[in-house]
Amino acid sequence: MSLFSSLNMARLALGAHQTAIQTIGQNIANATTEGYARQRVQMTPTPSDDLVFAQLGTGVRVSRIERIVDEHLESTLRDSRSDLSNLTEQNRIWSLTESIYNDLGGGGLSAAMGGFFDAVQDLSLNPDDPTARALLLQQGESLAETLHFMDSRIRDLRAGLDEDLQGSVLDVNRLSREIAALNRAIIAAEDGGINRDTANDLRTRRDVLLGTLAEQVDIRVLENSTGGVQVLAGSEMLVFDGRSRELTLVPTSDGDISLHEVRFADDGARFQAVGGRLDALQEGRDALLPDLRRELDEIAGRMISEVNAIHSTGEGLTRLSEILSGTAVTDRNAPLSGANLPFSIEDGGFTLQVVTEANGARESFRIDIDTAGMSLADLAEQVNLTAGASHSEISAAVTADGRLLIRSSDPGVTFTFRDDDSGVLTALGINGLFTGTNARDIAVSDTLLADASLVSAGSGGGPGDNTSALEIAALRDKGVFAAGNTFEGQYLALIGEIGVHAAEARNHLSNQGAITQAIQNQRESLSGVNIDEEAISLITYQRAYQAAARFLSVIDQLLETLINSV
Amino acid sequence: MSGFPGISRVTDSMVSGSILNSLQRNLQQMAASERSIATGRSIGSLGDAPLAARRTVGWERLLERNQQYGDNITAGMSRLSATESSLAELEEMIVHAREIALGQVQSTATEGTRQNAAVEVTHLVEEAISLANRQFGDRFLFGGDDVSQAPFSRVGTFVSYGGDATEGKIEIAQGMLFAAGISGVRAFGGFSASLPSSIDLDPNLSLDTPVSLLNDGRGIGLGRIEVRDGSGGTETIDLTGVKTIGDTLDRINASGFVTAALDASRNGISLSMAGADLSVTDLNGGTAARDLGIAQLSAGPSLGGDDLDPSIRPLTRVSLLRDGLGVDPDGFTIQNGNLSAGIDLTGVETVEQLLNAVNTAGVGALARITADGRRIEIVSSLAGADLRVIEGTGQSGAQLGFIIPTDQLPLAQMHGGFGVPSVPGSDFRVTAGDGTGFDVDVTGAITLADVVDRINTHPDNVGVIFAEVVAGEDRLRLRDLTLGPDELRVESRNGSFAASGLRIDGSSTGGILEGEPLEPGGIRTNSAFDGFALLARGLQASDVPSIESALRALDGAHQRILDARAEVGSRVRRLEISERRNQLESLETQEWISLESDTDLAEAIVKFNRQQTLYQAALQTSASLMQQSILDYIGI
Repeated sequence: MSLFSSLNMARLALGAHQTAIQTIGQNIANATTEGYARQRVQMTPTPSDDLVFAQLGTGVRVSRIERIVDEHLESTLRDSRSDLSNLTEQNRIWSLTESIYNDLGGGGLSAAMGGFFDAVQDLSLNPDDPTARALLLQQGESLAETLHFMDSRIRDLRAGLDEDLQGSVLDVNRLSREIAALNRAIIAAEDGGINRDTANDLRTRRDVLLGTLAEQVDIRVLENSTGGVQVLAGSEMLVFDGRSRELTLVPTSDGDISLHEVRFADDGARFQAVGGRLDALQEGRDALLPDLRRELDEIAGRMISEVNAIHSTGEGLTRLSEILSGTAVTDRNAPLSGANLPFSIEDGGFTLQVVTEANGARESFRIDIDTAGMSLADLAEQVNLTAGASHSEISAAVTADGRLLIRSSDPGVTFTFRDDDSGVLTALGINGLFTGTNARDIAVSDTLLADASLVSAGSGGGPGDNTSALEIAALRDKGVFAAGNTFEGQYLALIGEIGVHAAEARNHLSNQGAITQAIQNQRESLSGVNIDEEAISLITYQRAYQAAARFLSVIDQLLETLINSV
Repeated sequence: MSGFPGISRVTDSMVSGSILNSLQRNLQQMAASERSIATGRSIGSLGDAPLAARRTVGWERLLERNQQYGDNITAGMSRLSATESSLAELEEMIVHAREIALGQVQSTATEGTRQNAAVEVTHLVEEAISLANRQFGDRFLFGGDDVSQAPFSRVGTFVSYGGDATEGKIEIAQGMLFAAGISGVRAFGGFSASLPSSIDLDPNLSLDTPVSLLNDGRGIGLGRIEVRDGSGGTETIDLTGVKTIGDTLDRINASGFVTAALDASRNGISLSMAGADLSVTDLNGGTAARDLGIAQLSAGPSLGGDDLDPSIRPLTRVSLLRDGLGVDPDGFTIQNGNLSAGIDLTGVETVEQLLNAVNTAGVGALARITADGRRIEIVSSLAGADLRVIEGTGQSGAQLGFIIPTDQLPLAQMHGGFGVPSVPGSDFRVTAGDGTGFDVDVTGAITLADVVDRINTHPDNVGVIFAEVVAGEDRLRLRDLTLGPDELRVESRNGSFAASGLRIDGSSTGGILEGEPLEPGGIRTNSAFDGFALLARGLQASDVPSIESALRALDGAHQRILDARAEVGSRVRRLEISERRNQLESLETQEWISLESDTDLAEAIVKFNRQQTLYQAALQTSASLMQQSILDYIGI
């Protein structure tokens, strides 16, 4: 024991409290830094001198600067943030989707369908009125345009989600790389685990990055004994110690839209995120939107096939002189059942009626359809062998591009169709009101747009005959869909479902927001900086420092006394 | 601003985060309230209230539909009221023509007055034609579906109807079709009654006969049937989706269990299996076997089905008609007024070709398949003329039912097609030579044979009178069986024209009263135009019986017009009821929409004000809270 050792004791105390004050400074400086965990200096007495009869203290030293975090809480918070960002994205997708179905306020597909059927009603009032015909075609076009618009909005939304997804993948890669780099730095700073939990600021930085990564994709974080972490997304490793696995975007396409698949760069395995923003994007892009598009296609396809089935066997103010099927077959000699026709056909047949315009005489010819044993070329031949044999003006042929062409060489001889119980006229796209097969390509027949008198309002009774128009109008109440839904019913069910999902997403988001906030508060409560608290600690350490300095000065006086007395 | 439940240590960022959250939430609520007030709708997006949104959209469409139905009803109303005014005018013309006829049938009328009246009637015809060709918009009102050309036109002294019998239907409520017009057939008698064809043409089955035509067009209920061979063997055959008889046979034969074939003699299907005792039953409440006439038990090795009675369609082959006997190819001649055309059936294979042959002959004759699908009928569209069919060298006219033996002819066709009018009660009295007599009532008698029957089987006619139709001479003959001294007399009763219509009014000595030839005419339209034409002809020829028959035709036309007007009246009333219901429904729907999706402004504004107050309070408390710090109180 000596005065010098007391001097040393004062030096230790000054140093320790200075460290403590510095740490408070760090805390205050980072009071608003996101993800920062407050630090606390742990001091321990230095080993005491053994005086045999007593133990004499020798001072204080900083044993450790502790970061106040609860790893479990951090992990819970990460999961919660994954969920929150997943739900945020879902909510965003649903509200964008919702805005496509803008039927509230009088627009949208339901109004377009209603407008079409109303125009059919108007036509039924005045089947011979050219204006009513033109209006019907206009409403048909407006219906087609509405479907196109919705379809392209869904497609655009899908493409937008793909872009977001690309950004998200780039983020994941960047974060993985940075986390791997921090792993390396932490392992080095903590001497490979010998001084664990000492690289506080590196660790805080890593926790922040892990939190950001969790927003993109739900992860599990496991810390190794070396201080590095491994990051797992599902069962796939993203980061292991100093290495990260890169994701790549592989261009692909789905129909008319180019997309990107997410795969691992090293083994090419497909990456399917579970949770997080990426998951919501993938889910929206690959499941929700394609489903919605299918629903829309089904409505459009039904509209085309149901309306055309009636229209094709009806009759306008003028009858047909030439008709070219809208659907082409790849092999004219292949059976119709294998020709990939867009709408279903069955065995049966249709009637071709040849009309001699001069006296109005009608002669019917039954064309039997044997779907498995008959090709388009056979069909053309059958027309030639029946109608063509009696009326040399009528001939049928398959064009070079695989379409059926029926024509009359004499304007005084026309033809019309009746009683198609095979569905072949609709499937081949013959004399339909609409062309196309889905929401993307539905359109009003060009032939009708060029000559509205060909619109089948009747079925051969004369210009005032409105039977076909009434039949088409009655489609509005027909249960054409699987569940017996009408067009409107099917669509209303769809928007009802979208509404429920959108509301659900909104509620989930709001709940999850509250949950995340609560966990965030718990974490803040533990790890966050309270300026008042720091200020009080600062005063405490300041006083201790002042006292240590006074102690030093006392020892100094003692030494002076001693030296002066010698 | 929420507290921090369960948390003891509160940090500065918790406080600021919480303040931000609260303010954000307040602002969002205010924005939603503001939108609701500004747009007037309580639902901004589907997700706001999914069910209400869906209902609202549905109701809005319903409202639009109702408006369309309202438009349809209005169109129907105006069409019917235009129809009504035309019919009223026509009625006046008919009444006027009757007055002329009644005036000129009197003995005071002279040839001169009749000539003058004839000129007036000719003018009437012109007026009536222009009335019948009245247009509503661009539409001819009385042409049926043939709305774009004048339905009535003059052909010589006749008036031809070029329209059809349809009465343009419109939809006035969901699924409710309503005839908003009156055809020229109903109002003006555009078509005659059909040339009666009582003959069932009974076509035979063929492989291509659609099953929908079987059983007089009722078709068959497709389902599964079960065939048993009587010794334990069972086969289930699914007949759903078959379209023709050929399909049906193929489907049964494809089972390989039993052989099915077309049985021409039965005009049905027969099944056979050697050594079996066949039974066929329907499964699951189906009716296929029953409807195919093969639902039989223990029929032995061969099961003969019932006659399937296919109805006639345009594509039915003529050779299959008459139970497979077909029709002679030589054809027949149609005479209609002064028009005449031979219909040659050589080369005619289908019923459609037969109909075309008649319909394109240009004699104002229209052939069609009857609604029951059993017969072919011919109607005349030429007013003022009578249509008859004359046999060619063969029997085709009779085979098709267009030519009927005299005694089977309907009374309506007698006397040049004017028929035999009857009155309620007795129509004439027959008195024999010995003074005995009895009253005959011909009401309800359809054919000449019926009249003969009524006379011969009269309860008081016990050995008094024997009536008969003189073969080949188209007239009646009465025989006095009493051989009494006085005349055999036939006298009208109750002012009936029946006896004169039957051409047996008068008396004769010698025990036999020979009737005059009945001149069974063809069929007439019996329309107003028919009456006008006859009247003009009768007046020009100054022929009283002709004027009288014209009078009868005019009476018929008058009745027809009255019926048509009554029909229009009742349709207008139905439309009015529909219109009221439509308006009521629209009002209700509007109310539903309003209840479901309109903003309650008072409530919304109150809510908005409250939110505003809350927001201000939050701002103030936040501001004062954030100013607090210990640093203000300690001096470091």
